[in-house]
Amino acid sequence: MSEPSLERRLAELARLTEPIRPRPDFNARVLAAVARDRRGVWTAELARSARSFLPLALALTVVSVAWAARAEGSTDAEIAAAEQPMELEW
Amino acid sequence: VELTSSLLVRYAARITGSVADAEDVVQEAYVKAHRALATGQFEGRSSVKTWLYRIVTRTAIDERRGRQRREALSGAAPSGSYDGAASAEAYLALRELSGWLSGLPAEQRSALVLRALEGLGNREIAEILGCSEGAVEQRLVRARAALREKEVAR
Repeated sequence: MSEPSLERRLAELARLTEPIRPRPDFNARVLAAVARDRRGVWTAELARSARSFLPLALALTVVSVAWAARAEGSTDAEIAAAEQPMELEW
Repeated sequence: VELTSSLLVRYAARITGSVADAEDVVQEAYVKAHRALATGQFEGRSSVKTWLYRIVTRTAIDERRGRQRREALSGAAPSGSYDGAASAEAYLALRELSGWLSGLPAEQRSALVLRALEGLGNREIAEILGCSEGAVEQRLVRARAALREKEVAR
């Protein structure tokens, strides 16, 4: 096939395929797919953010448990001290 | 979507050879484009049309490679049945175009479709394909030479 006839055939194929359009419900399907993806991205982002906060949450838990254990110890000591007999002088 | 979907589906159909596949490709491309817009990845260096053409081109090439791999694995013949989404005349033209372009590497095929069927200039094609204008010209020359050889061999 010579160059001009190749170009002619390509131009002809361009003309013949020009009327191709998406189906009527295509735009609605695209918008639905975008909305679905947005929800998926939001959920993934939430999970990703949650994962990045996990070490901090663990550290806070350890500190809280240590603080609670220490606080309980000092409360026990104070109760014990309160139950010792008191000597009063008149 | 309303402004660009017809243009992009027609282009994707010319690359993939099927309107149904083209719709899938363009839908996926819009999702990618929306995601890129939402995360600020579109820098506005090219026009929106060029940017969408670029996403559709990459998605269509990936889709075509995936389909060829699936067909090679399953041993099934290419589908390409008439899906009623285009007129019979357009369907036959797509089949002919697909047969013609089937042996070309993806980059040459895209360059030829963008030039000869979409009517874009080399500069715009270079932006879409992410290469130099010289590389576009080289791909066009090779694609045309391959098509001529194919016709001679018939």
